[in-house]
Amino acid sequence: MAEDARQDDPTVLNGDRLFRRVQAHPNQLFTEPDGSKRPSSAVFKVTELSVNIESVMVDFLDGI
Amino acid sequence: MATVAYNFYQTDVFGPQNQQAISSLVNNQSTDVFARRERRATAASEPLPHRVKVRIPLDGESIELTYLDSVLPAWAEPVLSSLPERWGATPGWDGYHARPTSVQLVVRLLNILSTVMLGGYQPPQIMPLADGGVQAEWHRGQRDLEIVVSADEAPSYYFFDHDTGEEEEYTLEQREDRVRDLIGGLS
Repeated sequence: MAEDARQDDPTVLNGDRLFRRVQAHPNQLFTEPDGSKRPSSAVFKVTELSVNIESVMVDFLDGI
Repeated sequence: MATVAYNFYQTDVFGPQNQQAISSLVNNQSTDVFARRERRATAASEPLPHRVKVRIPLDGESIELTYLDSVLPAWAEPVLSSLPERWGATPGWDGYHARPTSVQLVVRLLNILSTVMLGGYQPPQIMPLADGGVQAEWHRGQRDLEIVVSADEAPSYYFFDHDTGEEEEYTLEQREDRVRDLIGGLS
């Protein structure tokens, strides 16, 4: 079996929150009985998940 | 219920070639109640008894499914009706790199649901997966249940009770009774 080339990235802190962009589309949102919607767990079932790192976003916004 | 289903899912009738295919499927795959039928332009003929044909429109095209019984079960109507908007029709439908939803995997999930759903059970909501698979979800109170049919792994289920911390995740094989009980508890 090939070795997984992915390594832990220590620059991403354990306490960092990660954000995943989810589209406001019925195929990504579960509809609650009261009509409200929330992301389905299906949107996180991806082998390689692109996310935004909260601390990086904050640093970027602070620099604007 | 049956009348609504038949009216809503009115489809083309199949020609002789497809009728043969349906007969063969009945003989050889009696456990699978849903089967995909490819759409063909055919002359009209008498519809077969004990079949419900369902056309699902998808982005200008459509797929047809055949249900091998005379009446759709109650759970199937809302599930099938939801599929057009719960379908990943084009590559990247999730805004990233998702594969289009696989008809074969949807049919597999429908057949699983046919096995585990009983009368009065709450229909699940269907969600596409980025790998072309699909999952059925129930959430009630603090309890979550998912049946997952992915492209690369055996069908599985996941259950979590936020109040008690009870958690289960197994392949579905030979655990249909347990899943049936879990759905019943969420209905």
